[in-house]
Amino acid sequence: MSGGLAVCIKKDIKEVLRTGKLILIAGLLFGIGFMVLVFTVIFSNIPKELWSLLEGFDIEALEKMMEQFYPKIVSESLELFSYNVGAFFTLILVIMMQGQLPGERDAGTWILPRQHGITPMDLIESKCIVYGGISGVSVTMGYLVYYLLAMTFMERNMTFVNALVCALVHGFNILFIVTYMLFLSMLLKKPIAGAISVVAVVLLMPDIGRFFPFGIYLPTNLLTFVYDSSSNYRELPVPFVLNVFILLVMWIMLRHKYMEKRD
Amino acid sequence: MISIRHIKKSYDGKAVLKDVSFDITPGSIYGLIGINGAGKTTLMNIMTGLSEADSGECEFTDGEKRLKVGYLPDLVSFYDYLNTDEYLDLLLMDKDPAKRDELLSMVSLSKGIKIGSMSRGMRQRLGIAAVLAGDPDVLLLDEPTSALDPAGRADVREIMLNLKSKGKTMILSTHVLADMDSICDRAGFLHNGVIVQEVDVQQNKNTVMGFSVRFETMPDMSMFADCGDCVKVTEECVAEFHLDESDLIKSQQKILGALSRMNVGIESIRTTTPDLEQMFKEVIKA
Repeated sequence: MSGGLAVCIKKDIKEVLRTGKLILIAGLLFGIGFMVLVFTVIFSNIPKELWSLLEGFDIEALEKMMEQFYPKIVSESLELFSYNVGAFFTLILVIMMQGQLPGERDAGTWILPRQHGITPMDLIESKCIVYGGISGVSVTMGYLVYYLLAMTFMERNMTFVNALVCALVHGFNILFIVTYMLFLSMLLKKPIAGAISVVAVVLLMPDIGRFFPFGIYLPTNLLTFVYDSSSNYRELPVPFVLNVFILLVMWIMLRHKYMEKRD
Repeated sequence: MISIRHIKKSYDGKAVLKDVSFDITPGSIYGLIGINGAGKTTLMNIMTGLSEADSGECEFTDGEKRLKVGYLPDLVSFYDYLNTDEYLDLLLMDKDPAKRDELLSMVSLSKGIKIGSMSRGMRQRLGIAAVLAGDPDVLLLDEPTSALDPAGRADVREIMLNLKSKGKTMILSTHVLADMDSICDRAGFLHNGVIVQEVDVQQNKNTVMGFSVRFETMPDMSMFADCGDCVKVTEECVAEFHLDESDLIKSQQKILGALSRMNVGIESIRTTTPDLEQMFKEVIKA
């Protein structure tokens, strides 16, 4: 690791800790987990409550609906949790991250560090490592905590190993999404275009991929894998390698843009 | 010698720098004077390598080796969540805490001050320390005092003079001409994409242009009729006498002779030197 990258990582860790972004990330995950868990465990009693209040009320249809929306089965509840993380957590992260690096570059914050041998690639890579790493680890931990809570309150149908694999895969999903976002924000002229692309892909592609036989090979299948609480681990290597490959191509493009040309 | 030769730069077909050339003696302070939008920052960016010129070259050598250049931009931006010492550690890549402390003391800042809470003057001082962290031979300072209060400006001026005494060469751009007068050795007027005039600021200070005389009561100005149009009443009881550049001694004798013949008391006489601001205004008008 270069000296420039090391000091930038240290700087970005301080940024995450001191600007309240860690609290935002953790709070968001806690909020999503709390919401799903509370709706599943507590609000599933709503039909019964309604029945006692409104005599003759058809509670069966409502109960079915609640079960469908908030299933009291560990794997299905985790699917719901991971989908919410994939959609909302990603959305907030993308909004938070999309203008950060271009903002620093345009404000001239990089001018002094660059004079001392810190390269734009050091600054970009450290953001990916710190923000992607912290978000990814938080999601992995959040997933496992949710799993343990779900095992306490719901019908158990998922092994710990399966949950651990899904947690790690979802962590990598978030790491990849953050990295895509940061790379695109520096590659494209308008960072918002990158943000919209990432959000569109994350929200739409996992569902679209299901309709095609080659969907399991798409990079977004890592999301589909977690959304399905799948245990078919053979689905993982190809999308994983594809994600790494695409990111590597983008990294080379960025390196070309920022090492050979002046910004 | 630091030599800027025939720099040209256009943006979207509009020429910002048409043909900029000037030389700077190592160890001196050179002031780049121009109105907003004259191209000072563009020229600084080219000199520092952040932007490329369409043509021309910048040579920073002392005859044998290439001189190291440090640049402090106009609106310097920091990582506000870091402290002063952490920021310098970042630039020094955590390798030289002794140098970090030395730099902080040079700009009169202490450790542990959060950058986000610092005044503009303090930020500017930190900026100078940050540039010096790379131990440059030449410092390019873009508007280093423009946004500062008088105390902040005085601090920065003092730091610059201190650096000059240590042999650093500085090129600074500003439109605060009082700063140029007090610290620069030479200055160049950048206008319409070229250096239209260069001034030896130190020599300028020693050049007597005339006298400013404050009388006890306003005298009869017809006494100075033979001085021609060299007399101007600038305010009540104050007259300015401009020397004729073609014959300074004769013109001086004429004025002093007329003053000695007056029977009005004189409160004060002071010599006037060429005014950089006035010179700049005339250049722009021309």
